[in-house]
Amino acid sequence: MSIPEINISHAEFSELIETIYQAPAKNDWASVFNRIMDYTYSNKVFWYFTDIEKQTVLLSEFSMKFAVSPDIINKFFSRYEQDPYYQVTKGLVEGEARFLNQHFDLSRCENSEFYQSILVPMDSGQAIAGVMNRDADFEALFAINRGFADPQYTQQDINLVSLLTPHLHRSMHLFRELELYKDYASMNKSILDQSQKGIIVCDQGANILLANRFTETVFEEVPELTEEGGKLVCLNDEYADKLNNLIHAHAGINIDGLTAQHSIVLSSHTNQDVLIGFSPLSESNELNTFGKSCCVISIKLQNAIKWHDIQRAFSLTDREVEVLGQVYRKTTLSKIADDLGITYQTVRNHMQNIYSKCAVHSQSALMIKLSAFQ
Amino acid sequence: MSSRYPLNISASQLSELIGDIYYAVSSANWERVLNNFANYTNANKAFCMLAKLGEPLPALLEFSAKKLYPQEAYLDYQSRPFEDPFFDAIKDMCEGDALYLNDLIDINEYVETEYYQSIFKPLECHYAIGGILCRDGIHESYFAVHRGVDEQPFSEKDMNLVHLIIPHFRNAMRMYKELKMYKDYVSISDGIIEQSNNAMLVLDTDMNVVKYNSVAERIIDDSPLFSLDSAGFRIHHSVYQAQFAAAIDQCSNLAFQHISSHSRIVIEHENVPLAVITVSPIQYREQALRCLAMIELIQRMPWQTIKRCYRLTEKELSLLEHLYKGISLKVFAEQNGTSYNTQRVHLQNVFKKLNVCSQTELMILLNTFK
Repeated sequence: MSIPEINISHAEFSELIETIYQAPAKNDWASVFNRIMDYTYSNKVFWYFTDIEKQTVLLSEFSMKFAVSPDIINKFFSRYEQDPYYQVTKGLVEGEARFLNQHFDLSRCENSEFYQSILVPMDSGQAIAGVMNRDADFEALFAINRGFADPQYTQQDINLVSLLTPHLHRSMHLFRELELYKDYASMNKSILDQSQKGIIVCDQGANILLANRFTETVFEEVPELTEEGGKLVCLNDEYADKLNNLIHAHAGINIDGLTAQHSIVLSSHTNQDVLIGFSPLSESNELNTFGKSCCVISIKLQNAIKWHDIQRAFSLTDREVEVLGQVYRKTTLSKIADDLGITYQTVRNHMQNIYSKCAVHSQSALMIKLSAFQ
Repeated sequence: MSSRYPLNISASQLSELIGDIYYAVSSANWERVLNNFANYTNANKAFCMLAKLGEPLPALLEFSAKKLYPQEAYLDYQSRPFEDPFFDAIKDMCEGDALYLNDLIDINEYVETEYYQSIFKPLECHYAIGGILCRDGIHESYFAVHRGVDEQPFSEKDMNLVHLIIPHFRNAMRMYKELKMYKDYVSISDGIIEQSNNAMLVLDTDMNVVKYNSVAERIIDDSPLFSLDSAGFRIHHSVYQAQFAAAIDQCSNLAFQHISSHSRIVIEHENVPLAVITVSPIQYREQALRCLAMIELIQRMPWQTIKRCYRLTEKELSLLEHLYKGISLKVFAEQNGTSYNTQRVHLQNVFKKLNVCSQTELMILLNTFK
């Protein structure tokens, strides 16, 4: 039988690769590198990640088979750039691993202070290093060592590390890509959530693919519109078919630059006029990977007043905003008193306070002031 | 090499195959994975699919075949995958399971069926290994490799390879699903932001512009008030620029105290407002933050158009302009040296002409002209 390529079984090898792809999400590199150290009979393993732009070390860890004084480890960390092994790794590209001793003569450094005070006590006689990531933003390296007196690393050890390094590289890359999209998605989500309109994206069958936070307010204030089984539905028969047809039509238009927009006004029985706009989702942006054609539905409550802004602008109490809201909906003061379970006089007192805070003297002046907050 | 798991392929081939599986997460190049997989198992074809339950079309359906099989047979299969006798065999399997399906059913019993004759025979699906990559109640994903009736049955070595590969395939499918979800979200939400009528600009707390939509680009290009270049976004008037920087600073401080706040900066020229910038914090990461700046140019009220539309007199228009600025009827009368009652009569006429009954309605109507 010929000499096997690596000296661990396929099953162990496959399992180790699995650990590599799980490491970034679990933030558990130790279990990966400890196993690499064990399989290669190394005396220690060292890995470190640096943010190039900010020039900060994100992570730098050791795992070793013997004890070394912490002073020496600290010395190493503060001066690793002087390490002759480190100099050799500068020539490696992403996903590449090398037995460094084959690329320079360590014995030439024997007289250096670094060799004597760090490499000797740490017993770093041999090193295999791999580059997990090396781009403008981020550098990640790892290295395993054997001692000066240990047998030399075999071709199988080198093969194993060389086979694993591309996986380490890919694993980091995948993780960073996922994080990037996650961050980008959360940024977009919070932009959409700031809107004072309901924004819903549906496919042709009115299945909701995305809805922003204000949509919840819309569903609360406009009982005719709701979500059922993941679909946008209109409970008012008069509008239901129209809504579905418009969604279907606008989700179907798929030509770039064509902005066919359509709006309908739905009169809710809660005295709200609801303006519903339909437009196809343009597919002109470069990031678009989404194959489906969709329709963007924007829902604007016509009478919606930004009560929150009003409360802040005039320093109103919660109760005063509540009363103000009812007055705005043309409820009488005595009805408000009944609804809130307080006396008519109390409501009047609230109104007086509101007048003075808003610096107005009449209801009509108050309404004009409020209309500025639409 | 352990004798427990004899394989037909070398460690570097195995490593490459596994690497391709994970690579497909971002490249979506599943075809390459299936090609190699079919090669190493000497299968005539390999296929995998990922579907969200309840959706008519699968999110991923990839075939890789060694030779050309009749298109009709593929289509026939796609139209009734649930009649597949092998499908019946994998129904009870769990995520991560992989089995030699011929161990479960005797395919020879099915040879005479119409399904076998019109699908399995032309597609050469006599022997099959199948595995479940995802089965979580929301998504369903599986893969299979086939050999025809004229080929050798799969061996233990083939099964060993499948057992080694399936945890990777399963992890990769999970990542692919997650990445696709975020990519889709980004793609849809970017579309909405781009289509918005509001000018939006996202800045980090160091005032670097992270993104902006085309409306913002247009407004900044057209307006002499702002500029956007490699140095970032600037308001040319230094006082407003300082206010803007302070607003960004403030919104980053407040957001960490979970106070949602926004600041408004009104840019004026000789007491006429020209633009309003609203700055509000948006959550970006757990501890990081960005600011959303929305720019709105103030549209002048088209008073002459309103005058023409409703056939207003000069005096009525003047009254309307002052009311709109928030000057009360009484104050306006005093400024004008006319009586309050005269102005009331003017206002009544304005109401009639504009067909409104109250000052509130009047203001609402006027706002529609902006």
